[in-house]
Amino acid sequence: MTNPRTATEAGSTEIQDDRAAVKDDDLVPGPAVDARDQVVRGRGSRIVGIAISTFLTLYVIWTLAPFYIMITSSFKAKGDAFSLPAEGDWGGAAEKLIAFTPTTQHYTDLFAQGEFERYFMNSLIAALSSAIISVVFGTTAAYAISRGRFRGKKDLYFWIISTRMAPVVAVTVPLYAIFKNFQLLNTLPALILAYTVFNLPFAIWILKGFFDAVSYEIEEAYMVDGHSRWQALWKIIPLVAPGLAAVVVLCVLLAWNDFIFAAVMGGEAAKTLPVATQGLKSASGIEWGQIMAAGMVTVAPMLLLGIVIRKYMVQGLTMGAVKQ
Amino acid sequence: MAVNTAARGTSAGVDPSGPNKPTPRRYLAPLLLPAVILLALLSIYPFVWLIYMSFNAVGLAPGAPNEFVGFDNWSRMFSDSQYWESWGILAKYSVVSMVLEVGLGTLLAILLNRSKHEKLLITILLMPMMMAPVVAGLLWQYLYNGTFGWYFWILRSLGLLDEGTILGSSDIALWAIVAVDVWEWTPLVALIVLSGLKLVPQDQMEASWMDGAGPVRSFFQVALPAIKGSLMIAILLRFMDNIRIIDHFIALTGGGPANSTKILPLYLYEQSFSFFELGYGASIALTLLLVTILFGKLVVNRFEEREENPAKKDEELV
Amino acid sequence: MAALTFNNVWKRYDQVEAVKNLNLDIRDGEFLCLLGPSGCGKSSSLRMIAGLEFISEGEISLGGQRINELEPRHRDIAMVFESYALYPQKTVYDNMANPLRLRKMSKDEIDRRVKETAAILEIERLLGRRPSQLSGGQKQRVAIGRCLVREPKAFLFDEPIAHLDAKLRARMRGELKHIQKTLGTTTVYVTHDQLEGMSMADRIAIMRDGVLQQVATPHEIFNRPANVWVATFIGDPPMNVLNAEVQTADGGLVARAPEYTIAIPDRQAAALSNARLTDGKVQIGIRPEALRLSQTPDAAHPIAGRIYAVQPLGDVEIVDVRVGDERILVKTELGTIQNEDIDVPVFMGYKPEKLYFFDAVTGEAVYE
Repeated sequence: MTNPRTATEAGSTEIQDDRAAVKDDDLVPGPAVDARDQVVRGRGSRIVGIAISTFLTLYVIWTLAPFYIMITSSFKAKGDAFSLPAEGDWGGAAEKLIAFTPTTQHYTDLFAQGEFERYFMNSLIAALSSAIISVVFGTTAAYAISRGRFRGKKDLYFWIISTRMAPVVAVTVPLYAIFKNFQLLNTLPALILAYTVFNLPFAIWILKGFFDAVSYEIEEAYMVDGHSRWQALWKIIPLVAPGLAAVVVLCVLLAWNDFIFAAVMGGEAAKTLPVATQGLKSASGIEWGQIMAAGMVTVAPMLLLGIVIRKYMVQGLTMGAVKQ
Repeated sequence: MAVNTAARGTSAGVDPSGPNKPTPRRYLAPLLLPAVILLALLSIYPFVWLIYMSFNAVGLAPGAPNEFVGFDNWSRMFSDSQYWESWGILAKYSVVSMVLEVGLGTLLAILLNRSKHEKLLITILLMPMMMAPVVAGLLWQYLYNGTFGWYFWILRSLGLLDEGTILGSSDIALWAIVAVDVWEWTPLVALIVLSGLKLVPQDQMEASWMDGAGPVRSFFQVALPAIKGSLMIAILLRFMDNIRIIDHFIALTGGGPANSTKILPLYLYEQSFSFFELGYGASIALTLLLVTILFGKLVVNRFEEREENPAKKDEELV
Repeated sequence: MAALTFNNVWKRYDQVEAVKNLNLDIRDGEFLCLLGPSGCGKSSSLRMIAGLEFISEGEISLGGQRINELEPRHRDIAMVFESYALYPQKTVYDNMANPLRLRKMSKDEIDRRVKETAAILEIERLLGRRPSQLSGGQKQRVAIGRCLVREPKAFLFDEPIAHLDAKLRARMRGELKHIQKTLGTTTVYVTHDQLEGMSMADRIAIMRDGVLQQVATPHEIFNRPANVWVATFIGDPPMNVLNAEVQTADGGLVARAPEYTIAIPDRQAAALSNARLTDGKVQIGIRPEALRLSQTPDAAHPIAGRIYAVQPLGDVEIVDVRVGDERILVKTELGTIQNEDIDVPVFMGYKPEKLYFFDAVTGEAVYE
């Protein structure tokens, strides 16, 4: 007679082995073995469990409610749809929040004015260009820092990192003066260079971590197999490809979401989406529906990107403090 | 021995970066220099400019001359009461939002670590962080709005707000911005702490259970010491970002009402780009940079402590 | 295939001298094991052969040709790395084919060689997999396969089986030796595990702190160690080393310690007196298996001690005996000791011809 318990255990061991094997291919160290639900729990844990679920649910609502209101407001018609129920009328509030006739009026208005496509393109060009410059220069530098040992490496590294951490406004002040002298104000190149101030150090920092995770012995194996030093370097680039993709996305995110640089140095010619969105406010009488629509146009692409590379997003946003 | 010393003498003449050395300097330089030069142009050059500007009254028109004013900007700054007040507001804002974010974030991290829906929850938590801060500011301005704002309505309905609007009262405007910061960035703290929790040695936790510790005690005994490093990183990153990014303030209040939310970077922004006092702005910017560099040093030290596996092979690559 | 020669080779890092004046001839077709504890310079030596490490001084030649300045790819040497260093993005087949493709071999020839080698290593069914889908032992075979397909002038192994479990290691030792003997390719094998060295190598080169201690066959290393360090490094359990003083007694020499006196056999006595030990201090080496035990005192068992612990190992047991402040290990047949309690008195005897003597100051062995 077979013992079902033993069979299950054997099965689960196999799965674990697979995970371990797959992890090898993963360039980023995987999470520790999941230990939850292994431990015998006491009786009080049920009440604790309910409390935990309640807290998490409330937190999710707190996180998502602004998104919900933003999305619905961007599809609400002007006027009455935006009015609030009487104070304390919770039933009326629920109805107002859920029941309304959606309209795409704000979006069509936004693009009908003609300039919003251009702002979108400005955002895209500035963000992508800066991301590409940063990832190209960042890759070579990150490789050299990861593999080499030379005097002053620590100081170089600190300089790179501290550049990334400089206050945006403090950087804007001298860049504004310099770009003014070079007649670069109100152009996309000004924005691209400004974004590179932050994106290049960031790319170096993150990619160094990815190169560190590639065993130097792999390059040595390539050399022993018959490749030159440069070829061996080139051969390991595919191994950091996920890192390159993540860095491009994160650089795009940082540049795309910037407001200060674009507001100060972009002018009308190089106006980006966040500046345009904020600009809608100063028009006579705030049209919230339209601002929410503009906000959606600004936020939605980044939300999609963020979910696609969720794993590396966490790493990037925490400057590599989080290894997943 | 004579042979040895002779041979040793010649080795100095041999190219120390012979072709069979793994990553000799002649390979490193062309890889490193382009990025270093580009970054130097974008950071050191402006930094020198900043110092120069702080001693000048900066001309505005293209090609307009700058006028050397010595320490005027600096002495003005040190006697500027708004400058010091703005430091105070920045400190108040940073400390309060940091305490809230770290407390809430740590709690979230612990719960996430035990939750079956960890992945889904993380995806949800990531969403606010994807949002351009200025858009987040606008969205919350709408939520706080005295005519259309749902959060305004909720506060009124709950009887928590007696009169005035949220952003219009100098007592609450700053806390309203703190709430936005907490909304957008608490998840970041949670994720950093969560990564620390994943590193807590399971056998130590088990040992503490066997010793008779309950979950709370074993958290303080084993988990907390293990996540101390992550917490420190989270705190430092949040402090630095509060100095770095002022988009929430620009969108929500612009410093008002009555300067009650005018944190120092915002004051710098106003001086430089509303009043175009670029020389004066440069002085303020330099003091901000100084503080940032100090914080940066702390952060980097923390990171280096965390980085346990700087490829051991490094040693052999010389 | 080719002979490999180290000629006064030094390797220096910033402050550290990793390899100090290494002279070593590795014969054509020989299986040489570089053995030593971690940090002894064995890996640096191997990597200098591969060209992965710059030679600070001296010369390495392969097949009579100086290779100091050759890039790794031009040396025609294959290497198995400690981490296996398989290319994670390539299949097993492509991993093995990689060095051949670089040599502009025809597709058919590559295919033939990869499949032949895979057959030898019994990894044919793995050819389509990626490294992440392999177990440690399988990865190890693929790494060896990538070496074998090339038919290079020499194989280099850097701790290739260190990360396998004990059972698999024992099996791989046999297989590696078999493959090497079949192909007859010059092989340099780096390990810290004396068992690997003893069981596989034609000759062992033992290194310590960058200095070559002895090069000899496993048999000679075991039976005639050059110094006390080699003597204790080789053998499991390790050789016992006792401190004593050489004195004259009854017209002969004896080694005297507070707890016992050992008569020095005549054939070694001459050498010992010629060796002019510093202050007459000597170290006596006795392998645990050269000692015998008794629980009754008699002339054949002159050294008295007390049991510290007994470790049974199936057919034999290791008895840990305390003699004065020193501890002596004795490997004996199971059942020699009736009463295994701690602190029970036991008596040890030895065969005089199995004794080793070392200069207590220099550590050099003294032979007749």
